[in-house]
Amino acid sequence: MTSHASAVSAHKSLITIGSESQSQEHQLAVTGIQRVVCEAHKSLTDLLGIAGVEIGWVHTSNSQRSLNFKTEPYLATDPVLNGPEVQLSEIDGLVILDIPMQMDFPAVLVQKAIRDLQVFVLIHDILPLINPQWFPKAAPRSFKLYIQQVLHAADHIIVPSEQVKRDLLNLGWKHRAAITVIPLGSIHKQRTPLEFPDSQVSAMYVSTIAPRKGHDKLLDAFDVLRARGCDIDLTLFGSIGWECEDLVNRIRYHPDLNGRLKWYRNADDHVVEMTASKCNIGVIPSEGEGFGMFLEEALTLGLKVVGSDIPVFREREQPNVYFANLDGESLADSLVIAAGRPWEPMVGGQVRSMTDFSRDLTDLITEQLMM
Amino acid sequence: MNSSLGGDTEFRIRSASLSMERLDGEVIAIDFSTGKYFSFQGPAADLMWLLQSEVPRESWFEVVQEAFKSLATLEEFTAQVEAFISELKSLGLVEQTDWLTGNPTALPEDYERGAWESPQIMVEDDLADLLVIDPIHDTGEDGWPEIKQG
Repeated sequence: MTSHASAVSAHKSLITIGSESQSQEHQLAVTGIQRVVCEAHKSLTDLLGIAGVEIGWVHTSNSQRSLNFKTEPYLATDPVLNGPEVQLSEIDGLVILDIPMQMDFPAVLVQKAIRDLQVFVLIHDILPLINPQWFPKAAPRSFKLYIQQVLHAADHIIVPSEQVKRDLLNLGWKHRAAITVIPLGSIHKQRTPLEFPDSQVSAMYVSTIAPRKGHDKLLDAFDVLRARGCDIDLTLFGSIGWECEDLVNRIRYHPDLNGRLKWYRNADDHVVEMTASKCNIGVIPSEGEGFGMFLEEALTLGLKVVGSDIPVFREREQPNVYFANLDGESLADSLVIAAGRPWEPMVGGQVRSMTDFSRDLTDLITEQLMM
Repeated sequence: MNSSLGGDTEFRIRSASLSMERLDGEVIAIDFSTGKYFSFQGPAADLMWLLQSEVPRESWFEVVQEAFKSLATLEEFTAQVEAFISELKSLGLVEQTDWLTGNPTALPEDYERGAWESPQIMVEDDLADLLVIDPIHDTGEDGWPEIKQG
């Protein structure tokens, strides 16, 4: 038990936290944010429970409960979604871990006006505001409204990187909440890789297909290395996102598809882990991220990582991580360099995990609720 | 140019239960007490900025004139501002005040200004209608704009 958590346990017999669940329970598929919510729920249930803090699902608006999540095997394991409902009028803390656009902010503000309700909000990024060209046309406006309301209601803002904190502060919008950086982490246990020939590049990338994710540059690098006669294979994991028709067609009609180039749109964790055991490099060529979980995930899967040279990735410099400029030639060169370098041994716990994230979040919640 | 505008009455943004933020030449005001939100683009956003900055109205014409490539006459501008503030008042977004403390200053340079246009207010009655679908994450199997079913 963490120090704050144990202090709360002694200080107050029962504190109740509600996690706004409307968005998560509607999901039929898993992307990065749903994974963050589910993993956080698992650890928070344990860590808060030990501290005598109950966590349940809550709807801030008067909406009907959805059981969609039960049809998706991974989301069906979420202990908060499967746990007790708690009422907005009765909770001490409200936790918002995803982007619940259906939230009833006025209802939250009414509760805050009449009692001490603390609102903890995880803001994954504000990329739709600062790079609207990366998103569907309607997204930035909806997102702007959401962020504006969140900032108005939040007592505590959690962001996964210093980059997101800078982006938020640069917006110049009003908020009274302190901004705490709590990096996310991997869900995988640390693995040791197989030995690969130095000349072989077996790369994989897990990410939704979207303009900012850098798949086009990665395919450029793949083509460059194929033209050089390099022994390369590339596996992409990710569903189709938005504004990416040309990119999807490039993958679908690539001459190496289902040969040296593979694409899984709906693979589960088992397939990802199996593929990783046959790869030596995880590549994450994104132009912009709030965090980019695949960096830590790839490290724990025993891969060396080639990431784009952007500040949010530079925050997490560590063994086995290489940086590349975002053009096909540079990325190709970095993949070859990384493949030729030995894997530096990593021990369990060396790479940040989602349990680490939840522990830090638990500390923040319990510390604030004890005050 | 030292111009006078709007007589003796000054107004300021009614800040209670109102969130108002600006980005790229658009101001969005959210009234949490009614669930309505309001969008102000371009000239309207600039007038909202002057109200929020509590700049006395007698300075507005001069400040706006500095920023726009062409502007209405003082009389036309005054009439447009009066109509604009009257609408804000009826929407409950501004309140009368005895004095303002803001200093005249340049407008934010967050969009490209052309000719001045009469300021418009876009009102959305129900915030919830716009926020039902998350267009970033609620896309279907074949991507945006298909929406996930279920």
